[in-house]
Amino acid sequence: MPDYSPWLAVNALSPNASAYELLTAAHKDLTAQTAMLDKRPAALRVVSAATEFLDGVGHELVVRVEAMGRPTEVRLSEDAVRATTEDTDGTHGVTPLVLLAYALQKDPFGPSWRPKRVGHAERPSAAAMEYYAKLDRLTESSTKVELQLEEGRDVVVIGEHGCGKSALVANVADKRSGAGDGVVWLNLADPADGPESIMLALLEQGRSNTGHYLVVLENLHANPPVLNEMFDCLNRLRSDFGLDVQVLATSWKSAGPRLAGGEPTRELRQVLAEGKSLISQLLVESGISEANWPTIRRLAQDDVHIALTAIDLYGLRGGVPTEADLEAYYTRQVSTDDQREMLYRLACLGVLELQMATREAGQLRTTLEQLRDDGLIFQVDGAYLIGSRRRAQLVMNHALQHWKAADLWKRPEHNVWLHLQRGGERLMKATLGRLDQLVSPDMARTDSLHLLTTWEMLIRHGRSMRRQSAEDPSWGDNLGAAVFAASALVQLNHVESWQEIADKVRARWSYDAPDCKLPEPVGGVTADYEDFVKIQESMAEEDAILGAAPHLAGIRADELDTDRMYRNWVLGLLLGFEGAAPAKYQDQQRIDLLIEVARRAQEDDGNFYPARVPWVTARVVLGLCQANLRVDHPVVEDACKWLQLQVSEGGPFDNWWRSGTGTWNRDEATTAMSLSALRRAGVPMRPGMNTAYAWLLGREREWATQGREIDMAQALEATLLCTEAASDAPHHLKTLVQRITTERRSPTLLRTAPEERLRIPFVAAQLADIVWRIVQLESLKLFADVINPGRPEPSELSEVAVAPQTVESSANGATMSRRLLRAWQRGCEQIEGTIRDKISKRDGPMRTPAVEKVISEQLAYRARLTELSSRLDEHADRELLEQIDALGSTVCGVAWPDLPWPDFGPEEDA
Amino acid sequence: MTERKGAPGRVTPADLIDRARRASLFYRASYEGTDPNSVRLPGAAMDELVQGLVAGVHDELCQIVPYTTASRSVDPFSRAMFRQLAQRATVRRMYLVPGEDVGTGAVDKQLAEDLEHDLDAVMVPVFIAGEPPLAPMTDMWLIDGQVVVRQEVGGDGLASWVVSGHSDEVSQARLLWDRLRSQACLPDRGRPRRPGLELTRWLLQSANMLYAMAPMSCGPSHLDRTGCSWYHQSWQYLRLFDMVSSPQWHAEFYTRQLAEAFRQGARRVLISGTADYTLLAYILEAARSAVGVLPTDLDVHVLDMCQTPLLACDWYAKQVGSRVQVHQADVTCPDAVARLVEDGRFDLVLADAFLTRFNRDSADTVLGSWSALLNPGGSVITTVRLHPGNEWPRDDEEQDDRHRVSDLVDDFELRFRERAAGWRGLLSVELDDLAYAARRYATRMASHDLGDADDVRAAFNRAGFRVSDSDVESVDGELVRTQYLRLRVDLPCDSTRIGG
Repeated sequence: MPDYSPWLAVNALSPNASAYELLTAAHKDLTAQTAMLDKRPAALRVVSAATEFLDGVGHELVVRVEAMGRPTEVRLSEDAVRATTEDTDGTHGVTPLVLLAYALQKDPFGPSWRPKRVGHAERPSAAAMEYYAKLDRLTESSTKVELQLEEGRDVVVIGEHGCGKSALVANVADKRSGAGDGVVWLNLADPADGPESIMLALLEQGRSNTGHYLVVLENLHANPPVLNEMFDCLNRLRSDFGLDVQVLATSWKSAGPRLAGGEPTRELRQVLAEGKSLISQLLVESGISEANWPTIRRLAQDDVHIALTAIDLYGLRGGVPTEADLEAYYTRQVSTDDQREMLYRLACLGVLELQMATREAGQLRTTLEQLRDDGLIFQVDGAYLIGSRRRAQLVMNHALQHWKAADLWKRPEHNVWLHLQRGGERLMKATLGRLDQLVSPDMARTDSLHLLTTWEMLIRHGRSMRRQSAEDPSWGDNLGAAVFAASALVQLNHVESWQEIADKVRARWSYDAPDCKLPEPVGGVTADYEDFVKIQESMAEEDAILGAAPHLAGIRADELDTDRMYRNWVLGLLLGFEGAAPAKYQDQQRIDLLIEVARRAQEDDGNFYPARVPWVTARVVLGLCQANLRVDHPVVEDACKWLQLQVSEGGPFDNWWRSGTGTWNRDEATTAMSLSALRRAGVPMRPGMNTAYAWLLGREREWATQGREIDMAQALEATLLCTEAASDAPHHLKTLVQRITTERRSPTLLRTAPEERLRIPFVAAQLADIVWRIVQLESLKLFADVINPGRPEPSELSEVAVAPQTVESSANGATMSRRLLRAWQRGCEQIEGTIRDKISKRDGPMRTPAVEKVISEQLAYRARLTELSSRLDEHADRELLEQIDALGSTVCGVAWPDLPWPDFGPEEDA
Repeated sequence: MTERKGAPGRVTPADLIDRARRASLFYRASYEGTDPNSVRLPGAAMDELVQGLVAGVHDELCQIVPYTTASRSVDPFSRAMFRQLAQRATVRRMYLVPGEDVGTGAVDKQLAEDLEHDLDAVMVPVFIAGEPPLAPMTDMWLIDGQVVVRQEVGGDGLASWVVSGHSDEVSQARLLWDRLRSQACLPDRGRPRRPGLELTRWLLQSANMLYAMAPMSCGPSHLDRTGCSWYHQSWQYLRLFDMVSSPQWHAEFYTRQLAEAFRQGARRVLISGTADYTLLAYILEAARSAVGVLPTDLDVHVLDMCQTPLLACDWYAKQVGSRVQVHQADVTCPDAVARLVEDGRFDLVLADAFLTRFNRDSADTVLGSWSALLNPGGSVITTVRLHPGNEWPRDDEEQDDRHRVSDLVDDFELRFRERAAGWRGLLSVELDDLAYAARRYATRMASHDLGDADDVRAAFNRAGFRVSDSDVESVDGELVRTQYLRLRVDLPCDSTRIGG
């Protein structure tokens, strides 16, 4: 195919070309591109274009687009064409037709409009359609869908993962296409698919023979933020262009109630697709004996794709496959590490029903194409996917167990986070929008998590901080503000800003001298030092109030070495700054030097001077954690021990942590910071920490006071770290977002709070971290559900054996009724659930030896459970049940129920 | 009795008292703060604070006082102290009054009383609707231009007093004082007016009533066949902060059209579907303005499926010395329509943004009912939301400030929180509870797309109406900026009924 340059005429112009020349060239390019299309007139056809001059506006390219005899006029401005053609690297691929598709959207070109990649509508490949055809059956759902479409309704097929909704839609669309209807196919898993994609498809596709168009929208749940505009666009196609457009969509079952809402209310008929009924049909047709059906059903778990594979394998092998057989089948022919990695990564995404855009694959695209050609993954509408969630689960478990995938290629939730970061802003927003509303394919949230909104507000703050940082990367020579701004900017993808700040910070502080005791400021103290002078004044006030009795730690304000305190605090900040540097700027030598300084600076009892001020020690511990150290490191361990030491034992802990600096850094902030430091270091929640956390919760009146956003952000972080649950977070996120938004719009009057200069950067950094932590917690919940739960393999034998009502006596003379057996099976499920919860709570980025120990202990319990439950049937003997009972007591503790025992008769004496 | 393991040795009562004193000192340090230039006192310490500070005023005390008609308890001790002070120093006071005529009588009385006691007091109207208040709606004093005394609202909504001598805080307070002073209602300046009816006074009273009443009085309605308390409970609070569609968005249109209708002799009027009494207030005001007094033969009826707005209309009519007949019935039900016209048809039907509660088929039924309810030559004055005019939040960097986030429900809640946060002292319901109600409203509110202006006009034509006046206007909208068709349609004098 010859090279095609979409902006040939525009690119041939001199940089000084006038608006008229530019638009005339754009006209030429548009004409050239439309001429390359199918000879048939497009569904939306360009009928004319001309450069016109309008008083007060200037030259514009006026394009008339027509469908069904109704022309509509759109205008391309000089600015829009320039913004598009300046995209010289072509990464966005905005051709003249794409620009026209943008223009067909209502008022698209705002003053700061910049082109973005527009997802192309692509129908599934021939191979995919062939596969979907295997699942083409007349079911109640398919009948309902066809009936509703015939009545002229828009339809969404909802259902659980793997229920066959995509296949149903594909087969209906295929029939429509065969009958001459136009079909536009979008998969909203690609965040670049939006209303422009529909316009573009209709500009490119030939007019349908029947005059009808079916717009297939797969995975409506994948990108909630785009739905209003998408449906508005469809309405406009009907009203402005007179096109006969119908929607056939798919979505998670949990999204059903939300799909009816929107602006305006959507007239979208919902049809439930159920895997069960389709699997029944497949089994009936398979010729497999009826006795084996329950086994296949259990293996498939209502996933029609798994059922189909199982039936195919049955045909090949003459027996019902096991889970291991399926895992092997779905990972067959994988021979290289690259292939294994890509399959594993796609499986991690697939568990959350995420897909990998073709462009995200980068250099590994060839590997993915190979996997696709081998039938191990699919490619639909510009994205690679592994298939249903159950299949993803099988592949991920296989990879974790047999390829050591977590060690080699990051843990599942990390892969998800990396995917979101690499996928860009639109993917992040789409995913957060989904997480806000839906827990899983089967469960919707009652209230939003507020992540998308928080993230969008952060993006705005990020832009403004980026500008501020570009003007003054030293942030007014305030180290705290610079370090927290850098942290926020990195998390918001302004990585280069980090480097600008780093140049200043690294030049301002020195710590490479041999035996350096504390970081040395180069050229005098930084502006933050002034705060420490005020802190000393605040401490003196506190001393005055407390009177004759000295402060808990016994250091009076007038005895304080302010410079030493300041530099210890700087040490914590620098550790955090270097430790959390973006990968390409990370300097391990600097980190090692700072850790060494920390070792030297630490007092004998573990604190960082001054002992009266525990937040200095907490800050250093947080910095050490960002440098990837945990409580197994002696410096962190000693500091954590000291933080937990009671006042009566010479420590700072008095059921909560007092700031020691009066109300400059209040007790609430100090307690939140100390709890966060301990948790991040990997210290499990101990009774004292629980007491302190309870105190912090009770002090909401103080930390939620307007103006104390730093305290509030710290309390929120501590809550997430202490509870490992996101349920309380949204409420406080809303308040924080509202406060910093108000602040941004109209800076608050009457505020002279301490730490004022670093308030916005600090809160932004905290919020970005909190969003990531909630995403991680929510992802872990889903992963914990599917990481190999260790269930015994379903086998034909056990299936047959459980069925009869009467069974033979076991070796020791007792048999279990079905009721009893079910009770013990449920007991095993409870053990399994408890293990899963425990693993998911411990599992995360903080992999300390203590955490590792707990996880390996739980994994050992899981292995034991797998072994015991595989032997659990109606013949189970006393010994087996006693072993299960003992395991249940160990794992579940007091929650373990008294299970009913069969009558084994009197126990023999030993 | 054996001693428990780990228990401390027995201490004397004096030791325990000492421990309590020590705890009190820690509490004091934590509460009042350790900033040498500021101190915080609990709200209950007001008498001590006033006593201490008034004696220290040398020249001038400037006070910003949010005035609420609802239930502001005036502390007699403070009042006496400030009056005493006014005898030897200048005491200036600015009352921040929500709305334009909130309790004007009461405020005027207060101003006169202050004047009598040598206080230099003025009133500053602060508009609730729209943007957050320019000033914090809490008490603030400025003493001799040196020290600021202000209320600080805690996370639990209770206020403390903060006294600060920080120079930047003092200069900010001075700026605020000067800015508000420039907006004060002075005798020579008159009172600023905004377009539309000023109903803040009534809304502040009835919003809480509806909030409490709706769960009991709401039933099935056109909004929700299972019950509409989620709508009526929060509606007036949302209206107060200009978050929801109301006749106020089309004030000039309703005022003009109603005046004309009353001049032409319309007297028997039906409000078909309403959220509260705002449309009723417009009718009463227009009738009064057009004729000079409220016409004695004015006969206003309100029809709604839900009892809550009917009770609200009844309450408002009583407050303003008028009367209204309410009918709890379904406008799409032919029997209900037939019963309504038993005593005669109407000259005028009014409905604000009501038609989009229905899909296109049902909207046609409503138009048929309106046709059946009207006398030949009668008119419908209404507004209809045009969904093709929706403006979606943009992803641009310079996105308009109205839409800052793409989740429209979050955006709605965030805007509500921002607008209401400054008015916490004025609201009888907790901000979090109201924000929750606002969110529920935004989540459940449904509006149907009836097409563009031509489609809507065509629907009226199909129902036998003739469009006599229509225009399309952009408004801020609830979830997104949008457009409304404002139209007056007439039934020809020789019309043949097609509905009812």
